[in-house]
Amino acid sequence: MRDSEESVFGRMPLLPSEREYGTLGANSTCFAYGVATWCFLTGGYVAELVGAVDALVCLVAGNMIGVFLASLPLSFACQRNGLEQIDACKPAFGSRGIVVVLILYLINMLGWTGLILVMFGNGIRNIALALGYDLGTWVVSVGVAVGMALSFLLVTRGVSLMNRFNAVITPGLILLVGFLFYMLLDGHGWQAITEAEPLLPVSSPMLNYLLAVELGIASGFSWWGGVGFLARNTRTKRNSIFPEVIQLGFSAGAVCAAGSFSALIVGSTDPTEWMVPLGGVVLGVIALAFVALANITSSAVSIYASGLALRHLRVFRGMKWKWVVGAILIPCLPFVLWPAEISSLGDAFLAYNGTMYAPISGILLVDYFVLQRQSISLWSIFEDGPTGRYYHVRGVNAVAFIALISGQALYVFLYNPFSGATHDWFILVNPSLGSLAFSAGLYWIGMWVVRRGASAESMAPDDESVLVRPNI
Amino acid sequence: MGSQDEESKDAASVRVDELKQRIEVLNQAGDAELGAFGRLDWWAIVLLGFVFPLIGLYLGAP
Repeated sequence: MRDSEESVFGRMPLLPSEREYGTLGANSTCFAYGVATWCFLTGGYVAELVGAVDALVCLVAGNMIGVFLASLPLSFACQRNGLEQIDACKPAFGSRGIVVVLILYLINMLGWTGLILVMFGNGIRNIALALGYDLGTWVVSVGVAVGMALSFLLVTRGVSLMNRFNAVITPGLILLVGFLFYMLLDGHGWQAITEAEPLLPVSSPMLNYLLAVELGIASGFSWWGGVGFLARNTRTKRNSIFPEVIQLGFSAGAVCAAGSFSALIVGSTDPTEWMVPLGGVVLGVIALAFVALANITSSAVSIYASGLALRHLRVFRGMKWKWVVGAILIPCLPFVLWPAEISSLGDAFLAYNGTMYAPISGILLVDYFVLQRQSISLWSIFEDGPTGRYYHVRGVNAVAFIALISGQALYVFLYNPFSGATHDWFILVNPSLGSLAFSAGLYWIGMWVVRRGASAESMAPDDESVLVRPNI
Repeated sequence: MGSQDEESKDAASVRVDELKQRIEVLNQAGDAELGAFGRLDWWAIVLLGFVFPLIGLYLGAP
């Protein structure tokens, strides 16, 4: 077990001795992962609805709640067992059912990766513009391609290089956020920030506030795709959850709020338009460069997690890691060709996070803490045959999918993120928390009914140490 | 072709053996290897991640 390529770059459960993140590593990686342009984008969206103080409350508190609920089951399951997070979903969704979760997860991860890379390209173009060179929009395409190449290099060199990269970038990011706050406070003052009007509010203040709360919570849930990967690499249980809530929740929420403040003062939701007006050419260009580098870190983490997830598909199981990473980058190529057109779908991707991950998190919470009692069978995770505990019926747990679809339907009933329409009950029930609770409750009841109906033979424990159809 | 198939089977067999060893090690791992998470930790994380933010959202509402 000296060569850990299979575990670090594959789905093999990671042994405690192979894990890279202590307290500092977990915090700095979570911070670097959290502080990315998507935070600024979220901050910009919220600035359309509410002023600075409400944005700060909604983004920090909402983000922390979303991250906490998304992380709780995944962090513990992935850290305890060294599992990649799609594997951790098998007890609930079934050994074959997780393919559906995997596809949705990959669409999400690659979509965000592409959007981040477009932001990287936009950053390069804006740096050139600030220096007086208007090279045209093709620079963005070149930037996306360069970003893909840099991400490839980072991901194929492994977690340790990503750690070293983070160790350089993280202090710069702390300075950047401090710079944003300083320029806002020094150049405009706290009073001007708090008095700035929302950019595009809807009718009532309460509705604006609740929409901002929902965006904050959905933004927290959007970390679902990365929490298992981060927790899997941590050495202790505490490090698997506290850094996620503190850095992905609190710190990222604060950075989102810095984005809101900037958007309110500059009057634009586009983060790449903030730095130069706020800091001047020299400081603005340096700040943009840090944002661009942070984007590479974030896209590398997303690509790494996507690569691990791809190992679930038979064709990728024995493949060399660099080919897996290359295969992930192929669907990102349209972002090189049509960066502006595809990045305009960013709102839809953000909406997808909330509707998708809140119900899944509810199901996983019930499954891991109530049904599995925090003890899942590693043998059955890697068993594709009917002898595995998580085979359910033909490899699919229909109860989980009914609960998932019902939760998503409730979310869209309360708040349709694509049209922006809200139901009257939206005032009473937060869509993310409501759909999480609804899916969790349905799943709990459904599994109770299924287990009552199951025969004693079918519930009998199998000889687990024999892998009939191993899926590694 | 035949030797390629055999190589592929050998590689798969090595992966399964590796997996079995890892599962054995992880199944035997306890708090000493993976860290403890006691009652105080639970209180701290629930308060930090849910209760305090919820109170903040309630107090911040217009």
